[in-house]
Amino acid sequence: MSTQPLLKINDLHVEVAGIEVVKGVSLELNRGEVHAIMGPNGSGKSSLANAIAGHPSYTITSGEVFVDGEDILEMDPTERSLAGIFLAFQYPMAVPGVTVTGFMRSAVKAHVKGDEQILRRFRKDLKAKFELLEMDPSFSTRYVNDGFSGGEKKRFEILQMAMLNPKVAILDETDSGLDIDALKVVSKGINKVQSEENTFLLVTHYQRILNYVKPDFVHVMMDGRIKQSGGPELAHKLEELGYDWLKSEVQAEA
Amino acid sequence: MTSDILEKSKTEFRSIQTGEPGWLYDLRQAAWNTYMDTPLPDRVHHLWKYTDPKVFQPASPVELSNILPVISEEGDEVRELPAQFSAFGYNRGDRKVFSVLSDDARDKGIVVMDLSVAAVEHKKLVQKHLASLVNADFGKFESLNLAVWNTGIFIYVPDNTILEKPIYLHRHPTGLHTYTRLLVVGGDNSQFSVVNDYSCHCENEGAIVNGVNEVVVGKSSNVELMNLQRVPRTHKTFITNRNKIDADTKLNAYALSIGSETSKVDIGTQLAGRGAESRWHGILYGKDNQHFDHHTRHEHTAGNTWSNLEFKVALKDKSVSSYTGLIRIEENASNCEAYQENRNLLLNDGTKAESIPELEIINDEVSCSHGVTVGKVDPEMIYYLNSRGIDSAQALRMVVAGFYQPVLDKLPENVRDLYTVQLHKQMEQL
Ligand SMILES: Nc1ncnc2c1ncn2[C@@H]1O[C@H](COP(=O)(O)OP(=O)(O)OP(=O)(O)O)[C@@H](O)[C@H]1O
Ligand SMILES: [Mg+2]
Repeated sequence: MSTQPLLKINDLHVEVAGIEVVKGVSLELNRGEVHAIMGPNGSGKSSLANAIAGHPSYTITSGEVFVDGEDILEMDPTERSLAGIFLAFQYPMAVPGVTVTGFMRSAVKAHVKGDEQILRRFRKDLKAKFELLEMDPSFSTRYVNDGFSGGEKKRFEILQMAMLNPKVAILDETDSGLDIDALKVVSKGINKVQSEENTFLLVTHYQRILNYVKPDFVHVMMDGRIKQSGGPELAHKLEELGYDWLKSEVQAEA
Repeated sequence: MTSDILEKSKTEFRSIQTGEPGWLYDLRQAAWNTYMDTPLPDRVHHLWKYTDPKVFQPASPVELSNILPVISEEGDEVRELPAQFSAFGYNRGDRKVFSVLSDDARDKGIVVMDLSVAAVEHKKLVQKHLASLVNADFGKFESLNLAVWNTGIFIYVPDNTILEKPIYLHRHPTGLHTYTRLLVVGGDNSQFSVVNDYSCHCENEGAIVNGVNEVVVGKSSNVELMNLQRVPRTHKTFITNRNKIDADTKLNAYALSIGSETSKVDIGTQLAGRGAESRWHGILYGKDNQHFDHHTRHEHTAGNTWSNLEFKVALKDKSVSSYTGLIRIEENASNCEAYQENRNLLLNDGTKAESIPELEIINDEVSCSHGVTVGKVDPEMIYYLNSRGIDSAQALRMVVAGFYQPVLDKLPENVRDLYTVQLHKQMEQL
């Protein structure tokens, strides 16, 4: 087993609509680690996530991203997914007319590359994940995210992650909009997938989810940069004090 | 055309023998005369703005002796009835019509047979309803159809009859000139479905398919009509459908338009009795140089009637689609509801979709809406599928298939596969 980080981001700069929104981010996520990113609205968290997943609107102007030692920046979004990146979207897209089962089967099929064994187990696996995420089996014939409530969409993102078992899971505000019970269920799903073989980057605004999914590191992103990194205690401090103290600290440093 | 030739053609028509009863022959002759006297439609006429009528004019004068019906004789080949259907009506590309019925359908008094034969055996019904909705004055090509149709099929469903499995009709083109007709007469309190499938593996450069379908249904019935137009690209199709439903009858019609080089379709339903409901669901997928021109009409001639229409069009390569959708609500038809939606998906530059809703609403107490969208596939949707490992080509196929899926989902289960397989075959190179 290699000892290099599963996800290595090196001085990443990202532009969207001609504006730089990620201004030099470096992060290393090792196997088995859970990292949380917190930060004010508009600070570039989703942009960072989308740039890693390969969204065509987010142009990487400089920097490097490696997954398990492999440079992914030349890859298209499909190849990045197959390389083990999974992004749980802050705002998952509806795909009308495509059923949850059909969608999931296509995704799994792409990932297992012809492994008949896994494809034969598909229905059983999917059923188990429905149970894990406490989603009604009737969702399997519904169209992807079409008419799903906010919370249902988030559950379904985690269900997809559980089916695809990625190396690098980036969860963009998966906890936002979840009621307390749903938060527990989604956290249970995350913890079930979390292992020594993968790594998680949790983007969140609230300390709450970190009670269930314990982070090893917490980073604060502000204005396109990581302003501060620390342990779980940093999340509590942010919850208490907000971001203002960091702003002044940044200015004091500058 | 000089009047000499005109007179000659009229006489020539008279000299042909079909073995059909005299009243029918007179109807054909009169329609022929109308056809000869009618000029080609004017392109200024709104229904001919998008398609050149010359396309549907027989290149050489129609050789009448070779296209009028040949009445099937005893002992001809009879095919087996596919298990999922209650009756099967077909021709094999020639001018003979065959039919097979299940015992159940026969016991219930269902009729599926050659229209020429029905003109004798079910004279009263055929004489009453044939050309009642699409007559010789309907239009130039409709009058030609009435004059020279062959491979006609007659369907009769008596009152109080429930037919579980659909009646399947295979409408095989007959060489270069196909003039074909369907007459469906449904009684009161009945339930039945008809699959009307224009298809063949034949290739006939320059062939014309001219089809007229008339469907007349009584009160409190439940009818499903499934039309498929999937003839080869060598063909041009001109199809006119008229349905008339009486009080409390529900009609669900589905149309799949994927075939032909040029396809002009005019589909209309008249809601003629209180409580009648009509739904029309259209699916069109065009590619290469295909040219589609659809017109639909929902005519509310009775009060308290309800109609809904959805037409989904996706176009690839250089294909084009024009659509005009009319809702007409008569003066004395109060409390009607009519809805119409046409969605167009342009899969690349160079395709073109035109859509024009037409409202003729002469009564104030109505609820009516129509909507048109023309757009491209949302790249965010493709990205979402990409991010799950699905490549862009497959993602596009899934999104376009998904565009149609809600319509396919509404189809009766035993016909859904036919539609899905044919649609996906047409989408193969997407
Ligand atoms: N597709 C886009 N087009 C234009 N501007 C964009 C686009 N995506 C992001 N931005 C801008 O980039 C900046 C960073 O946005 P981003 O979504 O990354 O923030 P965020 O940290 O995820 O915020 P939030 O906590 O509100 O989700 C914002 O100013 C946003 O308006
Ligand atoms: Mg965000």
